[in-house]
Amino acid sequence: MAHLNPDHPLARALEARRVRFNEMFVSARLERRSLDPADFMAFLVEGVAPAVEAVAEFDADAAPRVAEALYPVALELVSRGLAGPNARYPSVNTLFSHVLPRLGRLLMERPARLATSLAHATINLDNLPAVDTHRWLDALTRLAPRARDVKSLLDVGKVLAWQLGAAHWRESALAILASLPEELILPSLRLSDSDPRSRAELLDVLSDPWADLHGDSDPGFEQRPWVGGFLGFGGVFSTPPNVMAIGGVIYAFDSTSCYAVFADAYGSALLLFGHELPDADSEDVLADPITVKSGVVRRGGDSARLVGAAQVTSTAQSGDTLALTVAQSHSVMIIVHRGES
Amino acid sequence: MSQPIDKMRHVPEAPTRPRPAAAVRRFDVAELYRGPLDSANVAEPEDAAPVALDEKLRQAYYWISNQAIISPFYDIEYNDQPPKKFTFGDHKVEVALPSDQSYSSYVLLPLLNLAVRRRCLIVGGPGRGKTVIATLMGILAGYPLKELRRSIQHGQPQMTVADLLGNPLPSSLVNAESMDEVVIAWRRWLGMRVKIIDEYNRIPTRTQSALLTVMADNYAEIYDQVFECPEAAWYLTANDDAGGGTYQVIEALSDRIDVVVKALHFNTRFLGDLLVRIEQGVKPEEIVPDQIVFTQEELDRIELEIRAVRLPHDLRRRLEFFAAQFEFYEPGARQLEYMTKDTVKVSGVEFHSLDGAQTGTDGVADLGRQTRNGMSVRALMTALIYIKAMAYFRGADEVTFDDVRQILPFVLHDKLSQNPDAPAFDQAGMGALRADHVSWIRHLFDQACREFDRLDLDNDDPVARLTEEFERGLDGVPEDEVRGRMAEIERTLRTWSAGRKLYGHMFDDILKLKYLHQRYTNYLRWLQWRT
Repeated sequence: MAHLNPDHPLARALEARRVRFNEMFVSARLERRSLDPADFMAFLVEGVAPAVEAVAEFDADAAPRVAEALYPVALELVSRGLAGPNARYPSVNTLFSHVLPRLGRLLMERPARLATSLAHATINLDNLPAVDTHRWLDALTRLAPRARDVKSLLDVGKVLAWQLGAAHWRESALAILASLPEELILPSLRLSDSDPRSRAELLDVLSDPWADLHGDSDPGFEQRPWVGGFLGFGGVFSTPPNVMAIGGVIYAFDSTSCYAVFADAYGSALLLFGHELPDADSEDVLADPITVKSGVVRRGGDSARLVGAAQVTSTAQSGDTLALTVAQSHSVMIIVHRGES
Repeated sequence: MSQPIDKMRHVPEAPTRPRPAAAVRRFDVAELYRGPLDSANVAEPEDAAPVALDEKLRQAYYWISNQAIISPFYDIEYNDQPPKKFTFGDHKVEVALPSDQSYSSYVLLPLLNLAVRRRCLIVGGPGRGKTVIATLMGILAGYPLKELRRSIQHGQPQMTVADLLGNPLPSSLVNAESMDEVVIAWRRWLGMRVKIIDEYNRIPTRTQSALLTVMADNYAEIYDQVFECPEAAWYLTANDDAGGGTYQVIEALSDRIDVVVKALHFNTRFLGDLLVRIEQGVKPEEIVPDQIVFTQEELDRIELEIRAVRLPHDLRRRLEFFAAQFEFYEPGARQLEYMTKDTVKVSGVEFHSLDGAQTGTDGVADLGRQTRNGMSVRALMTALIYIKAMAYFRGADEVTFDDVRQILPFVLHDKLSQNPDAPAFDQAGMGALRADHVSWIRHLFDQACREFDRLDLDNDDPVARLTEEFERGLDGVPEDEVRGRMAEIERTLRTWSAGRKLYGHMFDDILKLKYLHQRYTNYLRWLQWRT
């Protein structure tokens, strides 16, 4: 079994509140009899100890308080199988062992709040195929020294999640961006500190979902990565889906589930909407439609040949975004059309 | 607390009754930091939205049913799609698995009683947690455990009025020159908003009368001195609901009981939970989480919100139709107005001496035959407020059919006096309803609704139509119109008199038509006088 040096700040904190901590463990085990003491001890040593040690380097007096705050969070994570040696989400282990120790100052401020929120974020992002959780953790860690408090850091984390592919959070992330502290705007958009654009200018550019802050994109059609996939191979659809646009939102659905399709310059995501399409009198009709015929996509004077667009079964358009399904695939093709600026 | 039990302090996370997703779901990046871990670790004060009071009630319910009371019974069943049913044994005992959120009456009814501040009787054998559930309600109302324990009135054969209400101060008794100079040391419990009377059927009859004044009129009186009590939720416990305590409970007192709930047996499959309780040495009433404790202002607001819950017209009609079944007793008088069970009861004549009179009604189908009384105004008012409370608890602003069906048995449990000799109970499968009054009352309601549907009263109800016409007012209604309406009333009565037997619901309908006819008659006379 993993063990701690008795002089370690975490070991001293555990010793000081031994009865209380033991009771909490017993209580957790009553609730979840599968909780393994060895697993929990291993997570304490490998996950919690580095964070407490990092805090002790800032302020030795704060370490017991942080240990006391992290203990129940760790206990709940391990007892639920979300962290520890057999965790369903190994990224949570990374969060504790590698990220929290680098957030020492902020961790001292709100240890339970920060650890729990970031653990939830790690789990949520692990469940989003579009986002690389480790990239998000890395970006957040790099930005942490600039955050004046826990709230600022968590707000940055929200913007980063969108920037790294969670397209469904675009609107609410933009709202956060509008009130983010000035010094965090450029880094949260992964722009260099020398970028001359103001907050208002950036928000203006970002009002176009397909605008690229990092460079000019060529006008015309662009085929984006497919989304969805066969349920048996880790996707979401059990049969080849169809798409439909209702109320400005594109929905992809098969015989059992309906997903909302979100796509912008930073990524694409499918989010479960329910078992059926939302109620609507009719499908959206657009004045400036994108059409697909014989594998060629057209709008106005622009056209492009699509790869893999034989036997199109359905199309749905929202703004400059076209979703398309084909008979032989369980995925949804995303196509964007950028006009001349 | 010597041994903190964090698990037991866990309050179920809101929403406890999730609703179907909105038509267009919004995706908020705030979801990034939401997850399965205990929200108490996460919530920041600035983030925390105030919890709606119906949600807080449900959180209290789930804390009690999951952590405090080991109560595995879900006897208040709701279904949003047909439940799966199984039958067992020779008698085909049916067990349904509810498809919607269902509840334990033993926890729910006392909680609703706290919300509507009425009087709840908890009945059951010794050691089933009756006093514990009552005590928990006091704690939810914000009283400290010690104060609450001291305030519980324990019924016992030597209990005097002074034990119950208070004593005159000896010094003032000696010095007083008139009764109003006597100073009374009132008992503290009288001023509390949760009142607990343990084993009320062990209180001597005379003391019961003093208790009746407090329960019924909200004041206590000794030596011409009066103590005005605040509105309170009452909890009375009894080991036996058949009046088998040390003293017979006086009828007026038992009539003041608004709702009756039974402490059901202990399911031995939950012995493991009992073992945990013993090993941890913790009593649930000692660890009630602060999040589910209500302020006085919150309880006041809940009551107002409950009153605002709507009862749809078509449901009200079904309730009227059900309630109309029981008071009518044709053999009890010669004039229609007096053909009530109350007439017989007040006269002292035994029902069985009149039961032989032939009325021509179907002895099995006539629901009125199954009771010895009708529903009083108090019973109807109580039913309405608890039905609304049930809907409110489920987060609705309008009562549903199931709210009515589920609540009526508990409100009418002691209000409808069963006639066990009624022919209906000799029918196959009906015998058990002589003992199981909850199922019996639910059966009565189901039967009444079937009859309501058979008569198609939702679509064809002449009394409702005539009433609606009348309620639009008489101002400016011309004489020929009045005569037309009166003729329609007479035509309706003539149609009924031609072929139908007299049943309870017709009794009220006929009297209502007579009332309308009389109002039109008086109006007509006034019109003629004016011209």
